Amino acid sequence: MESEATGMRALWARGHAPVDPASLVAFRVAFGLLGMVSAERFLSFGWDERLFDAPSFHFRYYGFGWVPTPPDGVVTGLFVAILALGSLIAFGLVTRLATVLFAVLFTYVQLIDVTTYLNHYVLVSLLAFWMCLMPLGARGSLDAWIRARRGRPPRPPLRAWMLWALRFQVAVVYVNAALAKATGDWLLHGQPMGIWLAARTDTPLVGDLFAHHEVALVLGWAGFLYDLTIPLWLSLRRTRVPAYTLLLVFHGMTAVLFDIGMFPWIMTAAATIFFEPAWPRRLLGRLVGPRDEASRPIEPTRPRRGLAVTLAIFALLQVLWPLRAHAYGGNVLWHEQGMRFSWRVLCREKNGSIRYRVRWTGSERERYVFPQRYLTDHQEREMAGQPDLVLQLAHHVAADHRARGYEDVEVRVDAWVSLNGRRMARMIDPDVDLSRVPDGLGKASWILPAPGGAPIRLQRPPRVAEDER
Amino acid sequence: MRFSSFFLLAASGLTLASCSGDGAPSDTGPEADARRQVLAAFADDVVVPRLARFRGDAAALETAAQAWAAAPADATARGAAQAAFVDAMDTWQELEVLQVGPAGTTGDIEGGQGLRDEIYSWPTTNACRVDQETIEDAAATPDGLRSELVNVRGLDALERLLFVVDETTACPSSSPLILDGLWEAVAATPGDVTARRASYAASAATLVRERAEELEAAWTGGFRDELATAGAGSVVYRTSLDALNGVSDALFYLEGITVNVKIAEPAGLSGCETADTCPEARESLFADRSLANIQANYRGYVAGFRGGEGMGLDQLLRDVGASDLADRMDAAIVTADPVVEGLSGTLPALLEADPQGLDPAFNAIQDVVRLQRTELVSVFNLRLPQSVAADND
Repeated sequence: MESEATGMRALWARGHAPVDPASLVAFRVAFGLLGMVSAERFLSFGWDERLFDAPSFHFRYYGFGWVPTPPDGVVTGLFVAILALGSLIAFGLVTRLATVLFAVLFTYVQLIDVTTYLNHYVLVSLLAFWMCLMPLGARGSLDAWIRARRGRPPRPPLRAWMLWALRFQVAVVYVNAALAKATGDWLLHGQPMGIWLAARTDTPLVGDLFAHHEVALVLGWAGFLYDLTIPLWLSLRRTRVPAYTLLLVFHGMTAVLFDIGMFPWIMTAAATIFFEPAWPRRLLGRLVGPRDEASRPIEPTRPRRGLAVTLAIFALLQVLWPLRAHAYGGNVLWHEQGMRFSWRVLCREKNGSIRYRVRWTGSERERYVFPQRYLTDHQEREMAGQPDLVLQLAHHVAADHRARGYEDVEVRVDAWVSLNGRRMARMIDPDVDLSRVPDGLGKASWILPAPGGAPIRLQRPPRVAEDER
Repeated sequence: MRFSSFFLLAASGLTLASCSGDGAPSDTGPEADARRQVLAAFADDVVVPRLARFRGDAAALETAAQAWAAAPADATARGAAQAAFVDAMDTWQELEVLQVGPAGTTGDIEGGQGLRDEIYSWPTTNACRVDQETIEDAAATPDGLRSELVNVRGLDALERLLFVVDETTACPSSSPLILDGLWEAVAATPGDVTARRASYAASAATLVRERAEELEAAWTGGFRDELATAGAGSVVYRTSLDALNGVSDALFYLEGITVNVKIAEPAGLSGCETADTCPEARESLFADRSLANIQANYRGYVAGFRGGEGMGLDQLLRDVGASDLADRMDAAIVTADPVVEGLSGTLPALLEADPQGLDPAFNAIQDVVRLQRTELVSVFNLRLPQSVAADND
């Protein structure tokens, strides 16, 4: 017991050791700037209106049905606010409050509609929540400058655990992104990489290579190994520079090849947290100023068991939650149970065709309801491959019919889906009345097993003779 | 290497890498060439011949409508104009499924000039608005009609003008046309409404002919080459895949409009809940050509998929290793052909005889388009129509 307590105190002491704040300041600045760019993209591309205002129906995350739908135009205002908050975070003005508001607003926007789910948005929210716990405005910020101008002493230094937490969060993303690729389709058949690359043969310089199946396999394996090991290589001093060079190449390629938005830039910036805390000082020299608190003696603090346990549980949850898909069995890319919040980044090509069949008391035959009656094209495309969303819309279809006076409404679905170019197959049991199936986290018996067999293997078309072009 | 130098070098490399994605693509491999073969065949063997036919049909319709305008009481002249309309509409309905480029909505479709709505604006058709124009002098000349909304000067307006024989109006009693006695005043003179309709029809037919010529000229004068050189010099299509996506988007008309609206709604399969069938929801209310329109849509789709005499999407599927899908799409088409072509008579009569008479066509066509929506877009890595170009991960 005593040694355990001693070990805890030692860990606490190491975690609370002051660190050079330079890398955390750089992280904060990059986070704020990328947050601004993300918000600006929503506004300039009109996604605020097309993804949030245009739909008449919104898909909710399980347990978050209570999230209010904002009136038209409000989301635009929220993104303007997020943009402004990003700038406050970058400059370090009212930093803690700006970070809390950023985290809340950014997360709220994501909770409005599941079809806007993106892994990197989740990462931004998690990083923002971590940052809420850290006094990142204490150094290298307008807050610190104003405080100094007023003759007040500087705030307490930034601590080592803050680096650990952010490194842990970034590592969780990479490692789980790798585990998600540990499938036969990805590693043995080169799919869906092969499908995506065959459509990118126009890429300058290397496009011609993308038509070869072997290249899809090599890049698939490279991506898998990269995701799996990059946190380790970034953590080791000797491998850090080549690892970050590789990271730049990897994320540069994904940025060029895929419509992956801010993800490469967020990871490129976030990975700098693995560097020595003083790296900005080494890069920019006197612009950053001299190091201060790292040279100060460590002030002993008593371990706060409650905080430590809370952080440990949160960290453990981060490790375990992405693994929940394995508890469901089957192919998560097909049934999608445990798919979200698991860092399964870019690992499937899935397209579906959905039509509902509705029957009520007195109806002599089933009537079809097409998703576009309730959904935008974007929502329909996203829903078509995600059984829980198909279920949600089935409930809405039933409720809509009941509201119009129909009784004993039954809703079934013809859901045909192709995964990684395979022959389409029914994803949902067409005989199950989905109006009576509750949403939940349990294993869904109404989802049919994934089709077997290998995914499609594409080939190069024959060369066209010069005179036929 | 100094730490700072490494960073500058790495940052420069990343910037260059990202910039290259926005630069001119090198869309030159066998995949791109094969796509361009499909696109060229789509233009040369499928769209342009139909546009030429439609231009001729529109000219014939104009001539016939003018002849009827010169003799509004002549039933034979009216019949000839109706026959010319049927020919033009049959051709146009094939082109409805092939709305790539100039026919498409400006801003939504690459190369779009909004010419489709100028020619045929269904389903924004408004019979009452056509009746309002009928009693206004502006409709008597093409120039007077030119500035009016699209839903009173295209084939949809012509259908009402040519095929509604009685001199009643579609406007409700609350409309100014009735409240102010305007319609009654014209209808008081027997034949006056018909004469006005004939004159209006001639004006509208002239505008349709002009737009038909404009559409054909847009294709033969440049857009055909834009399509055929997609990714290799085209200013409209940055890559051959973008252009192929345009073709795929257009073909989805068969699912989104033909199956889900033109068939499902009147057949009572969707959106018709208070009766077994809703024939009043059919497309062609006055000429009763709804079944013919469905058949023409289907023929347009098949032609677009197979590429006429040239290389079609079916061959492209085989060339990239998706022969199984090509075979199944061909089989679905072979199955659907007799079902769709076997539709005869008028839609109300068909449903009167058998309320489920359209179900086989609905299912057969769905079997075809479902393969496109699920597998074909996967194989070619296409986006679905009107999808928001949002991020993805």
